Amino acid sequence: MSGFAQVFMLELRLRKAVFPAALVAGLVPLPMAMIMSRSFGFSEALNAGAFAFALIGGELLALYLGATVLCQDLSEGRQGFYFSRPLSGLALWAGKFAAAWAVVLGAMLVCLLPGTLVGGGLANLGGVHNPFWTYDVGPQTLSPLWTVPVLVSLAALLFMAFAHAVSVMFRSRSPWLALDAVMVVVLPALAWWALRRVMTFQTPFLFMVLLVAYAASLLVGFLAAGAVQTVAGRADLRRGHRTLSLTLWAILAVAVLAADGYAYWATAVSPKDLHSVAAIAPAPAGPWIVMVGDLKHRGTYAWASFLANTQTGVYQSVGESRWGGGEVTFSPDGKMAVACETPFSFHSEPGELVSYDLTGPEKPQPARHAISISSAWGFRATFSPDSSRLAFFSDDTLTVYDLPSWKLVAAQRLGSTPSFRGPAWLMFLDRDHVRILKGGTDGPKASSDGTSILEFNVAQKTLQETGHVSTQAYLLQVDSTRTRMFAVFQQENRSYQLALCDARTGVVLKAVTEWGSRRPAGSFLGDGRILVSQRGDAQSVLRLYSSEGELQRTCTLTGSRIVVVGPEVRGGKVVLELWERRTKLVDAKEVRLFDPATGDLQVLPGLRPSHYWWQGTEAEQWSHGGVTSWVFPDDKGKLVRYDFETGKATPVKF
Amino acid sequence: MGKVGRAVRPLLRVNPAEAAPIWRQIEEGVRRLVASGQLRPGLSVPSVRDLARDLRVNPATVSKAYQHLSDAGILEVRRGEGTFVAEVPPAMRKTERREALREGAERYASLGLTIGASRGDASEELDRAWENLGSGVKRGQS
Amino acid sequence: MNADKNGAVAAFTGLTVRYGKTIAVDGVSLAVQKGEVHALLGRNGSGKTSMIRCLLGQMKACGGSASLFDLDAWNGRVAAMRRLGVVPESPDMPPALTAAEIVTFCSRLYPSWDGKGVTARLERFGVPTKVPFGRLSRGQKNQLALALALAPLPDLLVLDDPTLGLDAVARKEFFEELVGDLADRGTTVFITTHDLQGIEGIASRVGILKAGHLLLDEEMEALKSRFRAVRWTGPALVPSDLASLAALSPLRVRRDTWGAEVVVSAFEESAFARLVHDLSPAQADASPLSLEELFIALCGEEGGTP
Repeated sequence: MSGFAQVFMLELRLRKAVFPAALVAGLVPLPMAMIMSRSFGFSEALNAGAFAFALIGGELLALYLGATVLCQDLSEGRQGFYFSRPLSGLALWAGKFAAAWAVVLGAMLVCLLPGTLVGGGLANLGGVHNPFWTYDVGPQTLSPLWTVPVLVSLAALLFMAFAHAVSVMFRSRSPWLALDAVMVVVLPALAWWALRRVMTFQTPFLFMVLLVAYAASLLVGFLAAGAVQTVAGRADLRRGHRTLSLTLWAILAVAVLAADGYAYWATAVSPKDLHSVAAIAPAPAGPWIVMVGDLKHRGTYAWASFLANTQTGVYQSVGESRWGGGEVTFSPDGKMAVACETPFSFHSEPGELVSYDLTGPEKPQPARHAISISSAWGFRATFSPDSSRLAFFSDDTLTVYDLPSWKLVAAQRLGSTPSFRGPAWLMFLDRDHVRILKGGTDGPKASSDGTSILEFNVAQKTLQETGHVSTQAYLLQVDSTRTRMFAVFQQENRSYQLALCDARTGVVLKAVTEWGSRRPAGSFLGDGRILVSQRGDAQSVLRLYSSEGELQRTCTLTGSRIVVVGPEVRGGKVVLELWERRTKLVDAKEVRLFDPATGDLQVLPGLRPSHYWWQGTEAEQWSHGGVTSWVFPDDKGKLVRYDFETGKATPVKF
Repeated sequence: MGKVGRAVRPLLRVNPAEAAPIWRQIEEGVRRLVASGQLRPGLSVPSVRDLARDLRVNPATVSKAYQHLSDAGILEVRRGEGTFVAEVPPAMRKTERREALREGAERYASLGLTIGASRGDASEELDRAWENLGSGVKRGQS
Repeated sequence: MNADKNGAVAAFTGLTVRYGKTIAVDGVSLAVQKGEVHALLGRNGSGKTSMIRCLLGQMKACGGSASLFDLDAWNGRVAAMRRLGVVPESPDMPPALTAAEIVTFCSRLYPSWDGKGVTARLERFGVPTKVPFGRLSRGQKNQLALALALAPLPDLLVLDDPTLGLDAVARKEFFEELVGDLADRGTTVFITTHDLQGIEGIASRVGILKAGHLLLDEEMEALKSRFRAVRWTGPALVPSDLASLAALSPLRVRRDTWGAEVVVSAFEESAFARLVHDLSPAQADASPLSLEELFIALCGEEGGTP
């Protein structure tokens, strides 16, 4: 202890000239701020200037001290002074480094002093209160203001340790530089691999975890390397370089390999790692589904999504899901799926279109076609009914590709980018004709702009407006024949009405419901009949209309329920998925079987809804008729296949 | 230490390159000084430390020389006061004297033989030296 | 070769030091007993510095070991340094610190410290205490180093060529100071030096290192007594003369215009007298060698092994 204290005091004495210099440096921002006060305000300019000076000067000082505090004596042959005394190598290293650190921190504070006295303090500096890196990290154990001094101090320590290591390496001129050169190339590459992997799986939290882990391991690695070098290398520079390099690269290699392992493990997930299945989006045909759920033990890497074959159990991870599985689009024949890969969950990141071939027995790998999607948030794609063409929006351009050649057939500008609130619904009428329901701008109530109905001829590359509906696009739903749609109209006094319209022109054919205060949600059945549900406070109503709009049956449900219509079972019954709006009680999520003939709403026990509740409001159409079984999550969140005829649920295995 | 100490320095020289060990050179030097009367009985000699410093020799060596001299009765150590030249040393025992003479004689003879001197010349020189030194002693004692 | 480790204050046991392919020290064994003034001599590059570095725990030996007070020099460095005073080859104190600051720093590291002695020494040699170390003269630096080495009242003093670069007066003062301490405390001393004249009277035991090997390691008196330079004047030396000298272990023969000189390493008075008596008519004379001449005879280009 005494040795450490003695070295500490000695080093402070040696460096005492730093403090007056820091004070002088701290005076410099004052005239600078006066010059800049015209455009920025004196106080702001002073605080920013003082902070910048202190920070930059401090870190540069840390580099300088790190490179000289032990190395200068070592290379000039003066280490004997310390090693010929009863002073342990560790006390020497610790004393020197602690003193250098104290000098750096003290110098930074001294440098800030003039600015603070005149300007009023660093707390006034805007960005210091909420540094961006404290967003999204989880419960904050440190008040944001403290993270700045802590990070600056740790950075100074890292710079010192780094500068010391580099200084030893270059002053020794020993062959160990070769190892250093190799590691400097290899380790960052390995470290980047882990980051890249985590990025492609869209998990920003894991990314931050890795960055923090890397920073910590750098700090530990460099400090430990310097200490070991001083203790074991003593006055011999070459031997010191050897111990330093071996220690440093060993620690960093372990950290990087652990990070790689962790990144691999955290992202190499299988459906078995799902805590529970939250949403399922099945392909229109075939055994494939997209399943989304919470992962076990992966921190906030939640909502992992998988392409899964419910018959063979083959699966492929497709990253993080924000849309409950809706990011993946299946072809109507169920042989292909497309998705947009985005590296991060920032809104404006461009993405890349990838496709999956679902026909083979092995795991489908993402095939890339060099198709870049800008504004990938809210990306939707659609296939032609014969699965031979694919259309989607990239910014304001409608693009159409031929499949399976992936040849670009058409690219049509619409003149405005569809936004989330006012999406452009896209559907193929047939191979050569694409209908676009182009919504207006944002605005919760004013539907004055309404929705334009456009038709694009792919072969002739012509675009024409065929009709108009005076409501927003998300309140429209088109039937499977693409000839009729119903629209929910709303008035200023918050009343709604559901009406049947012509899908091409938008002309209202028949009003289906009365004007009411509850917004109706509707769904077409396969034969054209319409199921409309309306959610009340204490009870909800379900109504069945004929394809002409004649009311055929009315049923009531207790509670405020959202109803999503599922597939039609062979024999005519319809699967309904019900969510309770206000509570999160499991009991309130149900799957029922609706018999149009009798109006009976039979509960299917042990099953939970799988279709993400708001997906039901989109222009997605269940064209299934006559299914005999369907895949649901059960009470425990595990995937089961329910056979409607036998009433048995068999688990799906992966 | 006084004048006597200072007087010893130039008088006592030690040549490490000589054949005789340093302690013997010191011993013989002191003997010669005492014998020639330059160091009178009762006067103090430098301490081991001081003499070692002056001659730039290992104090152990000086100590050894002093030990021999005090054993021979030429110097006497008085506790707390220092080291002094003994009063007229009591007559050496016959055997001791014989022994010392024999040693000296052998060395002298060896020297003479190796330089190829004749015995007669050697004896002549011996007599002359005896004369010179002896008169000095007498002078010192008076 | 005396390599008795028991009771030795410092010892080298089969010490081997290699720098890459060059062997600097090749299996050297040497012991420093209590109370000795043990000098280690050798030409530049003979391995002395490597040995000192190993002894001070600043370098790890490739083979064998160095020990201080029965502790391994490398592992037990800190404990050993509590009882050791070191005067390095070139002054290694931080140049920006003053003597006073350096003394304060060192004083707190040791269990015992003779502060008064340090002050007295510095005063005696006029070493200013408030001047940065870098601005002191060479002699003052060395005196400070010696004062610092003696201050913890060490059981062993290790000096690595302490008078390098000093003028004659400074050298004399340095050795006087050393001798004074020897007389006062009887400190054991291990010293490497090129100043053979200076050390000649002070060393009680001498080791000579040549190209990494220990040529000899003996008491000074014994060493001096067995080496002689036998000088021949007259007609040239014939081989038969040399053959008859064989009993005295001749080391080196040098001829000049006046005759020849043979350095022998096993001199004996009677043997020599007989020899001379048998030879004729040459004049032969055997004179002792100074430590310097002895060293040159052993370690010079024409030197041989004793």
